[in-house]
Order: sequence, then C-alpha cells, then structure tokens
Amino acid sequence: MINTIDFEITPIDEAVEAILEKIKEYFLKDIDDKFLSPLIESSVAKLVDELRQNLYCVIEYPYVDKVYRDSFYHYYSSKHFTYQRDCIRIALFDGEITFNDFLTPENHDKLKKNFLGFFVIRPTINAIHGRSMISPLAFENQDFQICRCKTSCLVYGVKLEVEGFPFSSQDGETIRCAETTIWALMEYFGNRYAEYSPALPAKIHKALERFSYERQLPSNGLTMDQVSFALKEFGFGTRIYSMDAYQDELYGIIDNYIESGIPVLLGLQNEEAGHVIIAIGKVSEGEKKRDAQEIKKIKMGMTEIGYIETCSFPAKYIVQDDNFIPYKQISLQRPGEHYEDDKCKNYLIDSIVIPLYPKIYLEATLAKSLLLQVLTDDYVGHQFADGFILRFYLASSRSFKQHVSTMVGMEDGLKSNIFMTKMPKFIWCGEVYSQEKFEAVDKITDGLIILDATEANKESIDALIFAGYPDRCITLNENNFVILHYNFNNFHYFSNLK
Amino acid sequence: MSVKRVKLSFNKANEGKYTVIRSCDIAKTNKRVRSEMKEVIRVYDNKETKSQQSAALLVLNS
Repeated sequence: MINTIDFEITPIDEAVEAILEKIKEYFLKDIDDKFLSPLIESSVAKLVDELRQNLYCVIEYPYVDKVYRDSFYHYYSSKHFTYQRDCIRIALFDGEITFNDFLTPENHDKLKKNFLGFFVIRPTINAIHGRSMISPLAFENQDFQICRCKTSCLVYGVKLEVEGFPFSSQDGETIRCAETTIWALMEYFGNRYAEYSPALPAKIHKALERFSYERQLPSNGLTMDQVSFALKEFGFGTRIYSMDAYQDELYGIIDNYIESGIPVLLGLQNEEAGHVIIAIGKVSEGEKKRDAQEIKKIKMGMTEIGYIETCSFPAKYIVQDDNFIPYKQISLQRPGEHYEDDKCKNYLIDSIVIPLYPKIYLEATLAKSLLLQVLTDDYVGHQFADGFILRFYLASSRSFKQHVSTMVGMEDGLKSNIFMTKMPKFIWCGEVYSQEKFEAVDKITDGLIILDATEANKESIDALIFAGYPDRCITLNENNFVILHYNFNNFHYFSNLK
Repeated sequence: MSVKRVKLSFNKANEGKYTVIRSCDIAKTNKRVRSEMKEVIRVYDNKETKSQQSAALLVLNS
C-alpha cells in the first residue's frame, strides 16, 4: 500500500516526458513489458502542446479523482482485469514555481494568482484524460468568452481556486460522450449555483434507470431525449430543438442561449453515428460584410423596415468535445471541422438540448416574437431607423441590475426606476442598436426591452416589464403601464460570458 | 433632531412625472398581439413535437 504522495515540479516543455514516465512507473508497475503505445504519448502531447510555453506543472500521484473513483467502484472493480484506483493529477501554474513557494505562507498569494487549473490522467490506458478544469488563460489561444464556474483544489497543502469549464474525455465503458456531457454540465451548474449539485457517472445511470430498457453498463451511449430526461431529473426545465423542425433558425437559437450564458448541448449526426458536445461560449469574427439575406423585415404601422439580429453575425463557438482538448472553436455549420476522419468531418447539428432554469416558462423563439410585437406597437413600441440591430438574450435580474449600477452617464432617476422595478429571477432582454453604435467600442444601446421569462401568456404584453427608448421609458406601476419621461441612454452592451 | 430615515417609492421617485397608458390602448395592443401570435404559437407547437421526435432518434455513442 502506498502511504505517501509523490510530487514533481516540471516546466511545461518537459511535462510530456515527465507524465509518460509517471504513467509507466505507476500505471504499468505490475507489467514487465512497460511498452507505452505511441497513442498515449500523442494523447498527452495533444493537450500539453496547446498550453502556453511558460507554464510550470506540479505532478502528483496517487490522486483520488472523484469521477474515476466513482466509475471504478461501480464498474471497473467488478472486472477480472486489475484496474488501479488512483490517478495522476497535473496542476498548472503561470511561471516558475518551487516547493518552497508552497511551504512559505508569504508566497501563497503568488500561487493563488498564478494557478491555472489541473488535469487528471486516469489509469484506463485507452482513454487517459480524466476530469480537468483548466483556465482558458493556460492556453496559447485564449481570445474568447465562455460560461465559467469556480472550483477549488488542494495542491501540496495549499488551497487554490480556478475558473473555467469542466472537461473530461469519455472512457468508452462507463461514460461515453452523452454521460460525459451530462457530467460536465452538472459539474458546471453544481459549482456555480446552489440549486444544482454535481452528478457522478453512477448517479447519471441511476437517473436514467426508469428510461432504460437494457443494461446500462458497459455504456452504449444515450439518445438525445434520454440526455434531456436526465437533466430534467437533475432539476432543469429542459427544452429540445431539432434542425428538422427549425432549419437555419436553430443556429440563431443556439447563439441566443449562449449569449444568455447557458451552455447548449449540441447533438451531432453523420451518416453513421451520433455524438454530443457542449457549446459554452463564442468568439466574434469581427464586423464582416453582412449580406442582404441577414436583414429581416418587420411592419411598423404602415411601413416595413429591416433589422439585423446579432445572432446572424459570423462567429465561432467554443465547445467542449470529449474527443479533443478543452475549448475547441467550431462553426455551427461545420461542427466536425477538427476531425481528421472524413465521416466525422461531416457531422451536422441534428438537435440541441437547453438546460433551462425550471421556472423559465417563456421560451426563446416565442419570447423573441413577443419582443418584436412590443417593439412595433403604437403604444408601447418605438419606430427605430431602418436597419437597426437587435441583440436578444436571457439574463438574471440580479446580474442585469448589477450591470445597470455600473453605467456611467445614465440619469440617476432612470437608474433608480430600473432598480425599483420588481423583476423575476430571469428576464428576456432585447438590446436595440444603430449600426454605428454597435460597431463602436463602447456599444451604447438606443433601446432596451425587458420581458418576464416566467410569464407563460404569449398572447398579450403581460410579459413586458420595462422598455427604454430614445424619447421615453415604459414601466409598470400598480398594474398599469406608465410612461416615464426619461430618455433611455448610456446603457452599454451586457454580457453573460466572461 | 436630524432625520436619518429616507423612504423611496415609485411615486416619490417620479413625483407625478409619469403618464399612465390608458387601459383601452393596452387592450387594443393585446388584441393585435393575440391575433399576430396565434400563428406563431401554432407553428411553434408543431416544431416542438417534431423536435421531440427527432431527439428520440438521435443515438449518441461516438
């Protein structure tokens, strides 16, 4: 039995060699022929090569990883072949560190500041990448915004925190892409919100017991509606959208939810197989030329004017695909673009699952239609100039009001009215911009409409909570819509992503 | 004695500087929205059913 933990500090350029040594030393210790498949080396290098070159690693063994240990007790330990139960963990730091930094309390702030997360190597030799939480800052390419959660871990006695999105590769036996995706999503929501808790593989299988007509292990994968069912069991009010039903509108829906800070499960299909990945963020492709097809038309009184939705702007999306490293960039039209295999390259989005807060009763496509009805109304709307830009997203009223509090130049009376407006936990927001203002660095809106996301009545303007226009604002007082004589100005772009 | 308690309400913050939109105008708006949204909701309901059927057929095992 091992009674002590081995540690090693290594610069990133020697990390692959050091990790492979550890795999041989610890995972192949009972095997005489310590031959390591080149696939393992390339699998380790695939991740390490994408990390910044000035990083330092702390490698430790044995490490008890909660996800692998759960799979071990519920599956691997029941097999004839001996599987180890401990993992190797690699913690990442920005710049050089020494063991002395951990032993000297004055240096702990430096460690906390420079800690960039960790990844786990599992003893399942064919699928070694286990749980990881790596800050986007650890990667060479980090020019993107994502949904993030915070997690803490103890490295050589020092408690450290990291922000990122959880990741793991599938092991092919207890967790395939579907279970891995559910795990990562629950890990994210569980770490971020008190309403949810993380779900380990056995809990995921337990949740799906009622929906399974065959044995669950070894896993043969799940269907997309089983994924939705599991998430519903874990407390979400899930919504499913398919390409078959929505066609190209689906890309806009995905963008709306990502802009809302809600990770989206993308179910992919090619001619042979299905796969699922999580879209967690985006990177704008700049102000590329927008063609005429992107301009939609709405009727305002007797005239018809054009508007452009920001969800139609060119963008790449950040995904967690368990066949790659964390934070891959894809276009929604070609989600399989990183695969070498031709069939996988042909993946297309088939359907998506949105893990919504259960009390969001007003769904995205209906909320957007309702918002346009408000915008074009004679009494509660406003005639914006032809070609205006509409940005649509869901926000928590807390973070929205917090954002308003940081607005410089907004009239105090207007701010005060927004703070006094009673809002539900979640609101649908529509920001309206002129093209010039949207392209400016500070992105100041011309208008803003807020709808109650908990309102199920889609056939009236009951969901309207607030509207801000260049000439007036509209809010509710004693159940009556009232016009406030404030010009809505100096409200800047609100972002749910970091 | 100095007054330290300060109360704030909608009426106090706006001091009568607001105009109530007449209920009959809101009723007109709601009538228009109801007729416009009817078709939107019908199409949405069909898409919802179709989406659930598609999701049941997509096997994720890659």
